[in-house]
Amino acid sequence: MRRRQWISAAVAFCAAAAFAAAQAPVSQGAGQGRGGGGQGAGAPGPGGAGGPARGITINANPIQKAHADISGNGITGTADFVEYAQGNGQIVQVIVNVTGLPPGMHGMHIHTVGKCDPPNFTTAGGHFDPGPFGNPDADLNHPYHSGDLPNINSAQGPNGLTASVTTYTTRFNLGGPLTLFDADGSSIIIHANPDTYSTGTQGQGVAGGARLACGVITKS
Amino acid sequence: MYRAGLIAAAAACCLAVTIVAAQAPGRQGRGGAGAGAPNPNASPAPPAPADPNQMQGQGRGGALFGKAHANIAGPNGLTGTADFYEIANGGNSHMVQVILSLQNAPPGLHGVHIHAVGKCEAPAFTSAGGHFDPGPAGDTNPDTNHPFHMGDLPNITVGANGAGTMNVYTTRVTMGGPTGLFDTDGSAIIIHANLDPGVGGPAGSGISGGPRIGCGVIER
Repeated sequence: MRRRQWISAAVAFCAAAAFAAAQAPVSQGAGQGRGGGGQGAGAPGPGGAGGPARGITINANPIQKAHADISGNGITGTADFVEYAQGNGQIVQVIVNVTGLPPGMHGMHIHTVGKCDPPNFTTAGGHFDPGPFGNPDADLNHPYHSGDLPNINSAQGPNGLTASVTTYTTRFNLGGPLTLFDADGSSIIIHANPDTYSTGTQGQGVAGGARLACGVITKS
Repeated sequence: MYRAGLIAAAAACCLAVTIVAAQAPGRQGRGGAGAGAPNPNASPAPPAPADPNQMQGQGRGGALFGKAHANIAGPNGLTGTADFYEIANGGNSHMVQVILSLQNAPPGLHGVHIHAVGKCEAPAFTSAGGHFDPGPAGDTNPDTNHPFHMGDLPNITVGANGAGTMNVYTTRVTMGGPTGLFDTDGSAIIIHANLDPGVGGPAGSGISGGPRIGCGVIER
């Protein structure tokens, strides 16, 4: 009994300290406490117990959202994008859930055009890379594109082949110079092979090769 | 004495609790109300990702893949620190948390960027080069290629007392690899006199923050 009280006191102290720390750096209003807090070790930062903690804590309300229905040969899924403020900038949470992908790692990127014509999805263009010096070539300018994202891994589960990833990006957003909603829109593509996160020669396919599935990104 | 001991013990317990929680498999990327502990109810949790890296102990919640630090100083008494933590970001990728703290700085918003060269020569700090932007299509010009540089970060807000903190994430840089801060000439973090409006402008316009009032070489 005494031990239980001690533990609950410790947990309460921890929650209070961590909450105070998370509130300190960014005053983003109500704060839904969204984001990958599971990655937060809770260790105090250099500012001491009152400073920011290492790990992902996004203490802000969503600014805007977007969605894509992903499909390919035997593949279906969704991608959801939620933009949050960080400082006076933005960070976008990307959650992708897909079924039917072959097992293993698959490259995943935002592509420049919001058009998914099967079976090859070449209509989606290269990797999203706006700006005066941008280059959408999937090999030559990889992994420097604004639309480059982590791999997604597919594995056999109770409901067949499933793949899920939650990630964040500060390379694009849903409004402003880095918006996905430019004149020709954008799409998300999942490739046949893993993304090696390296630069290659033109046509080499270092970012994942053939396109297995595609989804046009729309505002939601 | 007893109270101090209890607080220390509680803090230690808290740390252990959050680390254990953060290391639980399948907890990646879930938010927790600004606290360090995961809260699966805080946002729509996707199925637990079947990420082979998690099984290898890579890309797991709470893992730290690298860290770096900069001591920031300016000719008018500005001082500060920047800490960089490379943490997991889904799939087999990483992101970098930037925790910035300033003292004796002019009140208001100030542009903050990672610059291309790890060299801070006062008073103008031009030795730090343009904005960090590696890659074959990169362009370090602070005006014409803004805000598309890999080194672009949100503004910091400095209060009337001259102090300010910022806790943000970037998926544009890493410690090593193609987007690594520790390339042959290193990197620096610069605080600018003016705010960064997050848009580009003509060469030499100083659109992204103008004069450099603080600089720190980023070191491992």
